[in-house]
Amino acid sequence: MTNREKYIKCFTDALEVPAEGVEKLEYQGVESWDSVGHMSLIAALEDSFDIQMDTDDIVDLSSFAKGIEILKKYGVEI
Amino acid sequence: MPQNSEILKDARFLSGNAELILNSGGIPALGVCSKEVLDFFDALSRILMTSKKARAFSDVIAWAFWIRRASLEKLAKRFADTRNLRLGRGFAFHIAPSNVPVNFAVSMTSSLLAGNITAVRVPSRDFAQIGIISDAINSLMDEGFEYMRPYIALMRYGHDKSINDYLSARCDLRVVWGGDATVAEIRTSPLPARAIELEFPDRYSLCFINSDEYLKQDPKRIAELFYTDTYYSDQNACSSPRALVWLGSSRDEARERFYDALYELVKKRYHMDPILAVDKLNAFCELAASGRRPRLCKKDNTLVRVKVQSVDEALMDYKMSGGYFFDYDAQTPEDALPLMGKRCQSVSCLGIEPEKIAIMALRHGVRGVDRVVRMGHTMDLSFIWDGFDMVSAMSRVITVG
Repeated sequence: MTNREKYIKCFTDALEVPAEGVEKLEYQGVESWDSVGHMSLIAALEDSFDIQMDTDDIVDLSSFAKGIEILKKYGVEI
Repeated sequence: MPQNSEILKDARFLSGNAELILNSGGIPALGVCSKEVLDFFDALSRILMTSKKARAFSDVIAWAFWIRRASLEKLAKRFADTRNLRLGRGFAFHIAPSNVPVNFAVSMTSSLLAGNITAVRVPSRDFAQIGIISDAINSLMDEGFEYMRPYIALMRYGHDKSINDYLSARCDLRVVWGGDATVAEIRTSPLPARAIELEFPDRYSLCFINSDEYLKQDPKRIAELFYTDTYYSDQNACSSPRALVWLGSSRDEARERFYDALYELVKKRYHMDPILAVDKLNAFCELAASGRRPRLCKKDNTLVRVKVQSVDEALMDYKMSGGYFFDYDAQTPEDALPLMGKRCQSVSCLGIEPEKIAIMALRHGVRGVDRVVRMGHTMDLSFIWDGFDMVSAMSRVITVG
């Protein structure tokens, strides 16, 4: 699985959304991306890419696109 | 002294059993942040994060998120110095607070990470969250994590002094959460000479708002943050602000905008227990009778504002929950120093750097203020609580060389 496929899978699994349109997702833009969904998503990302995210980054990860930018800091290219 | 089995017969065990407590003396304490405990919490976190039942409770998920591997490994790094070997103190007896459903698990987390055999008295009220967490623990101890069995007992019993006496007499560490009356009652049960005690009695919290900075922000977003700090826990948490200290030059304008936005959210989301309307009115009347000349200002019973002209530590004897706020206009943050006594736990800030408030507290040597955070973060879980570095405080050190 490529990093991009893994990244998309984190969103579809944690937020229980279809892969279609996933690129446009934003925090609280869909019902399942609430604070509970956010925690599931972060846990899935840390697990999939074997990283430990800083609190500031956890708070800042407010969209699919923003997440790609943040993961770069941890040496993960999507 | 009566036998163990007799004394504990009135305790109902959600996890573990009386036998385990009887044998706890022969069970080795674990090292701090041991692989055994980290693996166990990792598995527990995964079960809960993916459980439909658990996901209905954001407090369970917040706890599950906190015990995930990435979070605990950050903690473990702090204890990586091998010249100081840390391990559990032995048998830990915890009394969880009766009104916060997941707090028992928070107390248990630090205790197990410290390496202790951990027995917790959970709230007598049958919160669904407690069942969800204990079921997940039991399923792991049945399969794959049998080795954790001797280390966890979750139990429920009434105000039974003989059980408190028994568990206190054999523990190495006692952890008490609850009101001042609970702490006083537990203290009548003697501890062994070397045992230590951590107490987390009733506290209150404050909020500082710089009005000029507030007016530059989105009122809806700020209302969300403040709602999380207060109404989310029915303003029952020790970390929920009770008083708002208004600073800057636009206090009146900021305050109206702030409460208007908050009220919109409260109308949509908050369901108030009717008794709170009476409690709030009663609290206000008592405050007025104390001669402090407060002014009552409310939209309706769900959001009660009490303007006070001055502050003193005893003001908090008149605090109430369920949406009851003291408003105080201050020229400088120092004007609020009388509120930073022993019982003051958290300060949340908007438009002021938390560090500035922390430095002020330090400079004045106040007896309270254990934590200063940005607005919206008073409910965050932390391994440093009420000024204690929890895992350090619950463990001991073997120094080498």
